[in-house]
Amino acid sequence: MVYIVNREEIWYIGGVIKAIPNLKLFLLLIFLSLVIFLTDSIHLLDFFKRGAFYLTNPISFGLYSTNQQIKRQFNFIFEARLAARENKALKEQMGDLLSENALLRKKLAETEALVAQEQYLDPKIYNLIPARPIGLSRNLRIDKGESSSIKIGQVVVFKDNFIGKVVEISAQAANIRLLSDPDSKVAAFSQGLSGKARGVLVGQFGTDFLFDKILHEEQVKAGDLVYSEGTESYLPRGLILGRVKEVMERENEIFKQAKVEPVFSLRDLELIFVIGE
Amino acid sequence: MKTLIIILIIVSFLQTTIWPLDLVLVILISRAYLKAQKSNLFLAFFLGLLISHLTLLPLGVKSSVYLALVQIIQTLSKSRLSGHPLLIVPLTFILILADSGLSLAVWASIVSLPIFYSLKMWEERFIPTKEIKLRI
Repeated sequence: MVYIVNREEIWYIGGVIKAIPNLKLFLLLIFLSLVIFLTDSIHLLDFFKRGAFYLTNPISFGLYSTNQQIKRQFNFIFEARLAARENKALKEQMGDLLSENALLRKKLAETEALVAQEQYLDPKIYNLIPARPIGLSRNLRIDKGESSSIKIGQVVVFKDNFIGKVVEISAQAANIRLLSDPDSKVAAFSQGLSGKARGVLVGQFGTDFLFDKILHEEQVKAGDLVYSEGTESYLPRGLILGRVKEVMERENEIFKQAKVEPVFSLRDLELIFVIGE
Repeated sequence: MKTLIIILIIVSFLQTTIWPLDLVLVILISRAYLKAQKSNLFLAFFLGLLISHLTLLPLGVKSSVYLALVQIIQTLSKSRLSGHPLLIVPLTFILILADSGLSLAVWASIVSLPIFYSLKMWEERFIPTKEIKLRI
């Protein structure tokens, strides 16, 4: 079978070939590419490729390592921002935890005080109402009042120590007259190895109290503890009032006196107790 | 031309080490679309060899691909459609899709237009041609 090409067809093919620019060069380069591909496939160009790698590898490595360094820098900035945010959040959390910790410690101290109190005054006998000190001037102010069934004249204690008695009261607070108040007078006795002495404990301005009206024949020495006599209606017998600091004895006076100091500091108290009805 | 060759060599190293987008092909496509010249075929051939070498492909593979794609673009640039510059975007997309894949084709089509206009401005403003003559 013979296919005869007429003139019109030749003209059309020629037109198509003309429409493709640089066709000869294109075909030549394609041919060259194929030759290089085949030559490379049978490893004839390995020597030249190894030589070229000596030139291109350092450039590629340099670019790659530069890129990694830049990425690390950006990553550092990003991580620094993230760390700053985390730091802020952690600080807030730490603040919350610290305040929670402080609250727990306060509650623990109160619970310990409550447990310790029960060892000294039997809660079955005494109705102990716990209260927190909220202020100290001439009187000690506590955070419980009439709403907690506290009344004027009730005794306030800490463990088996007498602190004072309620003299003023409102719904949510009460004022306690302390032993150091000049208006305070409590019948007391001292007990030591040398013997026992009776008298009246009178408040004075300052931290010390005066143990007065002690008979000369009664024995009292520095270091003896002073207890409540319990002759007042409101006050139980045997509560510790203080410790004898100094005995003042004069021959020409009927009674002798002693300076008494408290056995604890009021400022250290977390929780005190009102002996209710 | 020297500047373009240097830029293309730098871009070849960049695309084989940092960013896998075939920027060399995008530049070649843009230039072939702008001007159908023999130099485009030479550039496609030699840069194809360089990129085959850098990407550890058998030599000649990328050259054949680049040559074919540049030739297609040069042929299309002679047609009436080539008057519209925005045609470079779909053309780049289709040709890179055939060569590299969808995600890289999308990126390539995005960068093709700025590259095309940068090349156009460069060729028009900074490359002297025979048509431009000083009036004395």
